[in-house]
Amino acid sequence: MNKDIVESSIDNDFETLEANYALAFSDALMQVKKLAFADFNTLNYPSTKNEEWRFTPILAISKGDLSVFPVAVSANATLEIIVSDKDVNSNKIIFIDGHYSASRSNIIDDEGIKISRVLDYIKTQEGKFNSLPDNHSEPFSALNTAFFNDGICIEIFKNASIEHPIIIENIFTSAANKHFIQQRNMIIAEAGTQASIVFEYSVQANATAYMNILSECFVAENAHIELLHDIQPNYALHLINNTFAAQKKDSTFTCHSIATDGKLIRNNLSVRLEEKNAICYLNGLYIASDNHLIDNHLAVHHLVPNCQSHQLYKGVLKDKSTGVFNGKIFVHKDAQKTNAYQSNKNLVLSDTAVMHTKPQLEIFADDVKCSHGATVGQLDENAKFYLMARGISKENATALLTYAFASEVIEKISNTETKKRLNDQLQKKLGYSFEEL
Amino acid sequence: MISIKNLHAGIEEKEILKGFSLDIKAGEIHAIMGPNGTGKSTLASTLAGRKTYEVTAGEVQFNGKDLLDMEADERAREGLFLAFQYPVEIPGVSTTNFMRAAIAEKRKHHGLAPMEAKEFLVLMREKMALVEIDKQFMSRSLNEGFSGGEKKRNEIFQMAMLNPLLSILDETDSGLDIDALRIVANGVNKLRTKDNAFLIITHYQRLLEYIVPDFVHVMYDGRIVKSGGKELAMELEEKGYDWIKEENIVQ
Ligand SMILES: Nc1ncnc2c1ncn2[C@@H]1O[C@H](COP(=O)(O)OP(=O)(O)O)[C@@H](O)[C@H]1O
Ligand SMILES: [Mg+2]
Repeated sequence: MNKDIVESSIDNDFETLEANYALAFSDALMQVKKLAFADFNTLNYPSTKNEEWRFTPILAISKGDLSVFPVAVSANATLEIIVSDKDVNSNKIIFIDGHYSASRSNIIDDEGIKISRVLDYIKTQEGKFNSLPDNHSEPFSALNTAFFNDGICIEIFKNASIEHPIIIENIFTSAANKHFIQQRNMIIAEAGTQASIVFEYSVQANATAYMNILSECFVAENAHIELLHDIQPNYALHLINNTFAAQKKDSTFTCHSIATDGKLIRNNLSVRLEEKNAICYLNGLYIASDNHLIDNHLAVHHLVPNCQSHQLYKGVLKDKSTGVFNGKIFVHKDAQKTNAYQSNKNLVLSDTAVMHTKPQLEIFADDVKCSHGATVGQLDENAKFYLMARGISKENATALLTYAFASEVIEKISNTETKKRLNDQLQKKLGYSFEEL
Repeated sequence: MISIKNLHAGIEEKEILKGFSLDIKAGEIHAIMGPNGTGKSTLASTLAGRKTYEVTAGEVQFNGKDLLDMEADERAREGLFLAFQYPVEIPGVSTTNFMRAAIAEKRKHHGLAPMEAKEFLVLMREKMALVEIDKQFMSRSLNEGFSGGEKKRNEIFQMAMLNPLLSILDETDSGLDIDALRIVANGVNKLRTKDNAFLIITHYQRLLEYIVPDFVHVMYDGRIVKSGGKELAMELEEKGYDWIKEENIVQ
């Protein structure tokens, strides 16, 4: 990447895109990108004056002289990259610095599922791509549409049930340090399907990662899709994670947003309940330490009658960290017999940590069951004393109670192996392990 | 085993324990009786190390060590046990994991190697049988949704698991039906040895029919006002606490 380009404003960046990448994109896609870029120019990088970004300064990103163009492929080609154990039974999709790595991925031959590069998918089918309204309202989605040039599309064909979780892992090396990687994914679950998809991130030593990832999920009739955003402690990870889902009748969409620390994490999650009897479960756990920030913005759109949404978000804030929770529930005029629940509970474990929590309910139907609750507090002193009165040290009592608080979210994960792995990691993160004692 | 001398403790400006003294030797069972609001639970909590109560005067020697110098967890590891009057519900922590953590820390404190998983399970099974608790309680969240009687039995179970030197039972009998009372008493009697001791706080004489104390003390307004043998409990049962109150107002 030429230095002038890196330092130029985003304005000139799009010209560069047109000049250098036009061949990679179809005319139709180029047109979409042009419009998205125009959107981004109007919206721009959000400042804290923007209500949706009030508590989340993104200076590290917007003023970071970061390039929105791909990392040069040669930069990481020779690197030794250790990919965690390949489970031969499960699909594992590996990206290195934003580039799909065919050699390191493990794609299983299965007629129920097709995994392809997102650009290849868009070439043949354009209908679903960028079709969700959320793509057009947020600056980071517009930026993603304008500049993405890789990502994965997972198609699960009618009535297929995929037994093992499909893993999408993003690995960052120091070659990506000055890049703001734009990745676009699509998950298309046809009627009657069942699958679970796990997003993982790992930042190598000396690397600082910036990523704007957008995943569009289409959950057809009677499909049951579970997503897990598994963000393990990555102190050099800056992540804008956009997940937009649309559900058809009798479907369930479950999304676990687990972030047990990261420098700056913003989850934008939006679910549209478009046909009756669709249910979504949105679970979240965030643990932040140091001066880190984890922000969860959720929107659930109840568009039709008889749908359910369940939100359970729990946070643990330590040191000088900041947590943000904003949960919007829109119950549209026709969405009678809606059941919508929201719970956000937070443990603030230091005097200098802060939590901003805001439920936002906009209800235009009258026959609706809706409940929400938010708490921000400390560990119960009585509980701590009870544990200490049995000989458990103060540190372990704190860790054990925090673990008990947080593991409720992990317990919602359906895959037992994944659940166990996350529980073990959670214990480690909190400095508590049953085995060690 | 424990020697409490002229203990004064309370909260902020209010003194609750006003010169409490008591000696308990290994092998003994002492009972403390007294009207509500007299400071019995405050005594138990102060001995166990609850920070709510500030000790303003007095000293406590426990097994040759200065008890007041230790934090709650260290006191427990040294062999002091408090069966809570109101056991706390701990969502998300199972009794099994709780006990595993407690035993592990106690063993580490005493320089012992961690207990083998199998040995731990055998111990659990044995102690569960002692207090007649079903094993399904072990994997459930600690005390959450337990009935009053189940919580109290769980306290005795924990006591049995930890095998303390001195066990303080704070109104473990209140709210128990006769069967549960018998189970609790049976647990204590079976655990009793010549090397350990019990301090049983109760409001009623009922429990003392099952656990026969060597000494009975009447507590009133933050200190012991009368001591005697087990017949003192009978006397209190007959006369109630009013005569104690009157006697002490006259003084
Ligand atoms: N944490 C506390 N805050 C305020 N008052 C307390 C506290 N603990 C005890 N007290 C008061 O001290 C007195 C003794 O209480 P307690 O020790 O519970 O008595 P008992 O167990 O004999 O019924 C009561 O008047 C009670 O209200
Ligand atoms: Mg009491």
